[in-house]
Amino acid sequence: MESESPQLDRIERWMLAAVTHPNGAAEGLRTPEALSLLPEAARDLENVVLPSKNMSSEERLQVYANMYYWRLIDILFEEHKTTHHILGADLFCDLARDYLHRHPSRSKNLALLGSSFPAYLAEEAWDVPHRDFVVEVARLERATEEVFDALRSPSIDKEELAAIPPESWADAKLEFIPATRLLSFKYPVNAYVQAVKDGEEPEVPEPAPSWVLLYRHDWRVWRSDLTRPQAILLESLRRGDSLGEALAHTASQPGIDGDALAADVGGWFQKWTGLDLIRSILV
Amino acid sequence: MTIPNRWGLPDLGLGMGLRTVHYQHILEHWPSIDWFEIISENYIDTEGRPIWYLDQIAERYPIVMHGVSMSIGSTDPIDVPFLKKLKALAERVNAVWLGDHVCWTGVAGINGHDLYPVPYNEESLRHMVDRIRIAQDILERPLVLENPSTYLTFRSSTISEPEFIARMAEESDCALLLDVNNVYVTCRNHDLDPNEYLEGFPYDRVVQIHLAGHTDKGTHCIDTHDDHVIDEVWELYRRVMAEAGNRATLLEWDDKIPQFEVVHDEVRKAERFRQAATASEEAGHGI
Ligand SMILES: [Fe+2]
Repeated sequence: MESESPQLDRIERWMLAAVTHPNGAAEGLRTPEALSLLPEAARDLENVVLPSKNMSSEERLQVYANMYYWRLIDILFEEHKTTHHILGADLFCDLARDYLHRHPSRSKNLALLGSSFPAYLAEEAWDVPHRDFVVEVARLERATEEVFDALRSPSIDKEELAAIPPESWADAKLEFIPATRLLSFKYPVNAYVQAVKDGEEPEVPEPAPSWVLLYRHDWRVWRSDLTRPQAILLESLRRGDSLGEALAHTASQPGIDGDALAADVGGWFQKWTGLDLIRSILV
Repeated sequence: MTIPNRWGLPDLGLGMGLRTVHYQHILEHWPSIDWFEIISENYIDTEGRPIWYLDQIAERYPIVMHGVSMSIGSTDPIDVPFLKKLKALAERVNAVWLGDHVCWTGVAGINGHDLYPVPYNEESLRHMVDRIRIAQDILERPLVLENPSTYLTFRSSTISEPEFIARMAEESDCALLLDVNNVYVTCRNHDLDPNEYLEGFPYDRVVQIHLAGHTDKGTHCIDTHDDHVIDEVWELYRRVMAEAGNRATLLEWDDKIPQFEVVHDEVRKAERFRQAATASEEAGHGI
């Protein structure tokens, strides 16, 4: 639909095309899109943007181009400090710039800016050193952001829990609060992230499976390592299996001792309910 | 002389921008500051820690909502769900008023997350006036729109920025936030005289003042909000207080944010200019 303010519409589209170009405004105003909107700007930018006493038209437009990448890369950096640590500042900035070019923000909500960054690193980024590991670190960092902002919901209270008759537990289905994530990795990602937070300079680790539970408590996001049986059990419950089904599924996995599982599971649940992770139990 | 604002919105005194790094200090000390301004977008689309803090702070202090992404100058359709979220937040924190900037922040569905200028001409004016009216109808309150810091001027501008803002406010019946640091930065960047800029500014629509620091690059200034307010900006503030009378005044400090008390001391410097405004008013009555 033609805008009711056609000149304003053209100038806005043109300016955004120019200032979001990864190689700067001078190149941005020569893209096919910018040329189709305001060809006179490519002939002589002064046709569209006036110079000032101290600055050319191009320098003035470039102020916005600099701010665009500077500001948005900084947001990705704040979310992905460990990814940044592994890649180093130069490569991280180059990748972040390429990501923003391919996936410009489509939301007013800046918390969504990096929502595709892990997938970008996995599938689109050019040669990323230690790619599999870096992607897992980025996934953990991204999930942390999501848990930070996740919806609030009350967790099940102790009385409601105590009121569930013992014979009903096998058929019980659990619903977790929105502010939790269960992540499984091929590398010991959490240990690495913690080491970097502690100011260490850890080596990129060898692959070794790991599982992390993210949850929000006292409005902070916590990372808790899980054992393999815990992760399989929680994953099964999150899929909607009943507790009985989830336990049977977990016990049937190779290398898992069913007796030990039966002995441990009560303690695990005590811990998870203590952390207010369970929203409701359907019996 | 004092010029009351046409809505009778209160002079809230001296406030600070509410920033994450100060949350804990505020909850521990409940400092004697008159009010807080929030960046609206930091408290919508989240149910985590920020809103938990804000709910408690809003119980004790007046809150003003100041947004950065309404994009009232954009040619994209008005984002009605976003306005409804703003309205809900305003009700939740009992916001004294809410606003944004005279700018656009994105177009064609893409958000640049920056305050981009419109060409100041009749077409932009019509466009913005229409959209401000729609937004005000949805929000059921006047919008408080701020003069932005800008870094370029369009050849297609035919009206000065202050005249554009005055006409926009008059025709849409919106309120204004006069950022005196932005006046300084914009005038430096466009070779204008800030005192001329303020000549005839519609003070009857101004309900709030912003003060901030900026970065002087020599050839131009950037509105970085990362430092103390410079003397020239204090002078502009003194002038506005003298001409318009006291207005709710807020100090913005958004980068390299120092401890709460440093920011608080900086905004308290405004007191002497406000008292000066009262004194000259009384002297005026005596003549
Ligand atoms: Fe401002």
